[in-house]
Parts: sequence; C-alpha cells; structure tokens
Amino acid sequence: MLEQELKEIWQHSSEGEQIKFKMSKLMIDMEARVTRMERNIKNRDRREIIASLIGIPLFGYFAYEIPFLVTKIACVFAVLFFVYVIYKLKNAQKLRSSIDVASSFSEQLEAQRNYLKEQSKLLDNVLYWYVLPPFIMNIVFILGLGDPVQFDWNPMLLEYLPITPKEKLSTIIMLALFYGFIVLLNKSAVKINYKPVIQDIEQLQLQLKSEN
Amino acid sequence: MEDTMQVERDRSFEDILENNKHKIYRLCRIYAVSPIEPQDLFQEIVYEVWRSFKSFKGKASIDTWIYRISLNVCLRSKIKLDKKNSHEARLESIQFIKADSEYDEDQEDKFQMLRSCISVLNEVDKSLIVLHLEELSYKDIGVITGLTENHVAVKMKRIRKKLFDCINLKMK
Repeated sequence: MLEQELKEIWQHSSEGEQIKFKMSKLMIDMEARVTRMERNIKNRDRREIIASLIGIPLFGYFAYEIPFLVTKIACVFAVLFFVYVIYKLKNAQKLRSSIDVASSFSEQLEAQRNYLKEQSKLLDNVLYWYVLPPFIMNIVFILGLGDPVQFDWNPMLLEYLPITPKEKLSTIIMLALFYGFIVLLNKSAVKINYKPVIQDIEQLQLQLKSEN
Repeated sequence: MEDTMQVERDRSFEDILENNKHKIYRLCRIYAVSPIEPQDLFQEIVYEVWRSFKSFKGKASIDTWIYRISLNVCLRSKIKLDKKNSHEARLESIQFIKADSEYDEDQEDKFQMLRSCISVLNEVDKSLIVLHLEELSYKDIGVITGLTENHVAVKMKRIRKKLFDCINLKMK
C-alpha cells in the first residue's frame, strides 16, 4: 500500500459521522461550563483559605487573652503559620494557572510535569510544612498552660483547655493520631494520584527527545 | 458595541469549528480508548478551543493552534489528567449522526487496519504519524510538537517504516 493511499484512508475516516452544532445552545453550554469550573476552583480555594483566616484572629485572641508566656508565644507562631499556609496555597494557584493548552506538545508536557511535581512535593512534605509546625505549636501551647488560679484567670474558654497533666497527655495523643492520619492521607494521594501520572509524562518526554 | 464584538467572536468560533471539525474528529478516533468515546474527546477539545479562543492572537496559524490544543487534550486524557472532565455529560448542542452515504464498510475496514497499526506505536510516534497523515509539513509538525524540523524528519523515517511493516503484515 502506498503512502498516498494511507493518507486518503485517513482523510476519509471522519466521513462516517456527520457532526452538527446547535451554535446558540453550544455557546450557552460553553459559558456555563467555564462558569462552573471557575466557581468550583474558587470555592475550593476559598474553603482552604477561610480555614486559615479563621485561625489568625482566633489565635490572636488566645495570645491576648491567655496569661501564660510560653502559650502566648505558641499562639503568635500559630498566627505566623496560618499566614504562611495562605502564601503557600496562593503560590500553588499561580503555577496551576500558567498551563496553556495551546502551547506546543513539549512545552505542555514540561508545564504539566512541573505543576504535578510541585503539587506532589507539597503533599509528600506535608509532615514538615503542614503537620509538624502546628503539632509542635500545639504541644508548646498545651505544655505552656499553667495554673489559672495563680494568675486569677477564669475566662469561659478555660473549661475547653487541658489544664491537668492527664488532660494534657490525652490531648497530645489525640492530636498526634489526627496529624498522623493527615500525613498518611497525603502520602497515599502522592502514590496513587501523582507518581503514576508524572512517570507517564516523563516517559513521553523521553520518547519525544529520543532520536529513535 | 460589545454585543457586536461578541457576535463576531461567536461567528468566528463557529467558522473555526465548522472548518476543523473533521480533523479534530479524526484525532479523537485514534486517541479515544474505552470508556472514553471519540465524542467525549471531541467535546473536550471544543471546550478547550472555546476557552483558548479568547487568548488566541493569530500568531500561529489556526491549523497549528487547533492541532496543538487537540493533541494536548487527547494526551491529557491518555495520561489520566482529566479524570473529572471524563465525567462531563454529553452536550446536546453537538450532534453526531451516522452518515448514510459514500462512506462504506470497505473504507471503515481499511481505517481499522490503519488504526490498529497506529495504536501499537508509542504516544509520541502516534502523534507524529497522525499529523503526517493530516498532510502537515515537518516544519508544522515541529511547531506543534516543539521538535526541530530535522528531529521530526529523523523520527518520521523510522515511524513510517514501522507503520508500513505493520500494514504489509496485516495485508498478507
């Protein structure tokens, strides 16, 4: 078979089906999908950022209200940590929006790989940037809580704070289990969702570069 | 004034779709692997063309631009980057109707033979041969894939041999 014959077979291969557009409806469908996608992304980002924004005034209030110096310091660090989390999330958003579907195949692969690697690194290192800092701050916060009677301190939130050694220990254990669960969840997301896709992309990049 | 611009924009988007629908569909027929149907991929490409159309400045030719988007979307579906999008419902505004004339079973059989030979190639080779069958020059293929013209030529020589070996084997 000649190459020209192959090209003809190829060119005719779309003739088995007629494709028709209902244009005015298609425009509405496209706009609706763009709006829906943008709304979904915005909502997800908003949820993550709101959680951090709630933490800032809450721990700011604790820093002001609680009389124990060590706990006060832990609260200030907690506020700084929430600011850092917002910065991290915003940074990841910028990287995501830079992927252009109309770029060349190799540019697209590189951009996708960089984005996925960044996301995967973010999740894989969640222990260091998302778990350990607040966990250590929580421990400092809890251990810093002294005897409220000595400070003549009796606010409403006192009943929610672990004051006795037994309460402190059980709270720390619960927090350790909770944070451990978060780490496992993120590690498994990296293994299941990110690593195979990154490997596929790298494989494609190798195929593209090779002379064979 | 804005309404007029919007109408013009919609009009040229419509022209782009009408003029390129068959070439997009041909790519979809190669890249769609169950459970994704060519119609699903086609719809996804139309969506990405619509999204990118706003930022299209005409620096590249429409052809190159369409092929870039189509190939990128097809490959994204392959490497499972678009899990969410594969669940998008079929749009009623895009209709696929079986053609009742000309295209016969013999042609379809020949296409299936070609398709099966293309499907054994790796993803990069697949995209290069598909663009070649679309009668694009090596230079244009280079612009779409990001390879140099020489690199495309070297690769194409080997891919063509593979394809013809496979087809000759099937025709025996």
